[in-house]
Amino acid sequence: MFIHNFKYTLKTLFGNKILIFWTFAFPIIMATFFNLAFSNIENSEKLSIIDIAIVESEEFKNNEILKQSFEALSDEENEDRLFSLKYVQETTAKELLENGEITGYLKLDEDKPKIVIKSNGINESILKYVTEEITSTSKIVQDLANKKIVKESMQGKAQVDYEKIYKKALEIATKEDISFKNISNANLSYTMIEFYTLIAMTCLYGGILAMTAINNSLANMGNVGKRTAVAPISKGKLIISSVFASYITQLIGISLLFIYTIFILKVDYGNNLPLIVLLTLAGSLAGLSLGLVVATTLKTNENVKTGILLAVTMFGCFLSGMMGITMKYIVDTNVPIINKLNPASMITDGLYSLYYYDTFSRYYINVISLLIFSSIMIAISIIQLRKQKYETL
Amino acid sequence: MKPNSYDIKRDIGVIFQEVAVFDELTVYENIDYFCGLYIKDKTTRKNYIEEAIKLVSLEDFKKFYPKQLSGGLLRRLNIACGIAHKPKLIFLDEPTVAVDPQSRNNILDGIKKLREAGATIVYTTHYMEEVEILCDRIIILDKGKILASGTADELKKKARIEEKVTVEVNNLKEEQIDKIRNLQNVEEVKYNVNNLIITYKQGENNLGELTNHLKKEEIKYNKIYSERPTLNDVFLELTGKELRD
Repeated sequence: MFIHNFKYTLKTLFGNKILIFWTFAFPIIMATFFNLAFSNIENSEKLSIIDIAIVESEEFKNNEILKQSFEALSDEENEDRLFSLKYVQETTAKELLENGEITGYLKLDEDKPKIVIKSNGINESILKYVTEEITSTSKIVQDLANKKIVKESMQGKAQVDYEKIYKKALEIATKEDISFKNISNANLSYTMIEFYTLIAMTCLYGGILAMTAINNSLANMGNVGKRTAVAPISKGKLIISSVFASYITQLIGISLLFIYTIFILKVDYGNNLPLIVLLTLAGSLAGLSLGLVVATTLKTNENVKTGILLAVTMFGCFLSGMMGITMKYIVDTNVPIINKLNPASMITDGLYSLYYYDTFSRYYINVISLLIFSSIMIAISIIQLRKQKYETL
Repeated sequence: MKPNSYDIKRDIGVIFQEVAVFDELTVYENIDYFCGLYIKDKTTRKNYIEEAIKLVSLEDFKKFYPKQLSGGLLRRLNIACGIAHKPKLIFLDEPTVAVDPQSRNNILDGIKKLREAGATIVYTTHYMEEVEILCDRIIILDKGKILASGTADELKKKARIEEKVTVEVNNLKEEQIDKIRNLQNVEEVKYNVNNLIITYKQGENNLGELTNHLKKEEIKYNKIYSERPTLNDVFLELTGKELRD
């Protein structure tokens, strides 16, 4: 009976064109629009290459960190390079600045980097900011190197390999630098933010599938429900089978969204795709359980229930940043409890955490939160279902 | 009966007034789904489905979706879904509402076949002529209360209507109607446009006495005929209603 009902629930769900539109086609259409709209914004916001000059000196040649960092940031083979760099004498640098051919120039004054600019603007700010970042990193490296030297001297080693220690320290600095760049890229990606909320929305839309599927088992929700209610079968088994079929349908829909965004829209979900899939499995379960609660607790017709479920889902996505990431920030700052209870926020937050953080603790907190949310919703649904008795059909 | 009285439920079939099928499944799939809730064995189920399809004459529509079916065919599918598992007790709630005469006859024939096969059928309807054709025992309900029960003949006797005579006659005067009202055994006289309807409580040769009276009073009529009362008359008599709610 389980397989019989499962098979036919799948058939009825896939045969329901309106349902398939909202759960399969609508997210794909939204993804296409997001891609068209936000990729243009991102392209327009890409930083133009800033022309700068560095005053050649022995001090600069000896300052490895500063030298390597600026060379890395102006590497012509790198598409995302920040600077176009020229090594010149100070007089030439002044001329170039006067003629407006460079944004500014850098020189070392008593081993301290000094930025010379003509006016204030975005490019000037970037040059100053990058220089300050490199300088502070350089100071950390120097401190690390000194500590290591002292430590090794105290251990009684006569020969200290300064070069090795220095390289090690430089490696640390380089890693820090890479990490910094990744985060700054993440901040710029509107498309990724929208795709995350889209995934959250698609997960939660699974609730409509679950609701439709179990309505056919509820005698107060329609004629088919009445007919199944008089059949010699366990209502529990019937509902579990229907819910399982709707979960599979939901996962097929999510998979199509991933396939479309990865292979057609060329969205890069990074190296954590298996974890993203795990999060969407938990998110879909949350959406499904939300649908169950709406189906079993509200005493109204199917159309009203669908409307309520869609409204709750959309509002949840809105709070989690679908119509602008600022909303998520406002909610997180002022009423964080809302986003702790909002499954859409749990999904988007889990996805952000994969993108932003090297550790997975925040990601797993979100996965566990989704599972707890689902468990509570399913428990409420079971209690409601056990309460239902029909005097007449 | 409890919700988990599966052995009892297995022998019951219910055909609801509203059509209860899946729009997304074909005729065959719909019957298979509902029959599958009762019959696990695939081979047995397949045979039962074919028999049900034959009973309601849907052989040519197996692969059709409900939206492709007419109202009558849809009602036949509704019946097939409720009886495919061969129940011993079948509840039918107004299965012929809003169907064409051809489908109606088909449905009634199907129900007769089920009865002949040994099923007990509880048939709810407002169409009294269907009750006369199908039912051995009848219960007349009004607002949830039993007004009368018994066979068709028993109910007709209870209603104390023996005969109904209709006379097609023009321009009948009020005093002429009053004289007819005072004839022996007359229960009620109604005159609508050109039809005079006389209901008799009891007695024999009521028609002969009436024709003699009309001749004596020199009332010319076009047509005169006598009918035995139908269950429809019984229903109206017992419920005291002119129109059905």
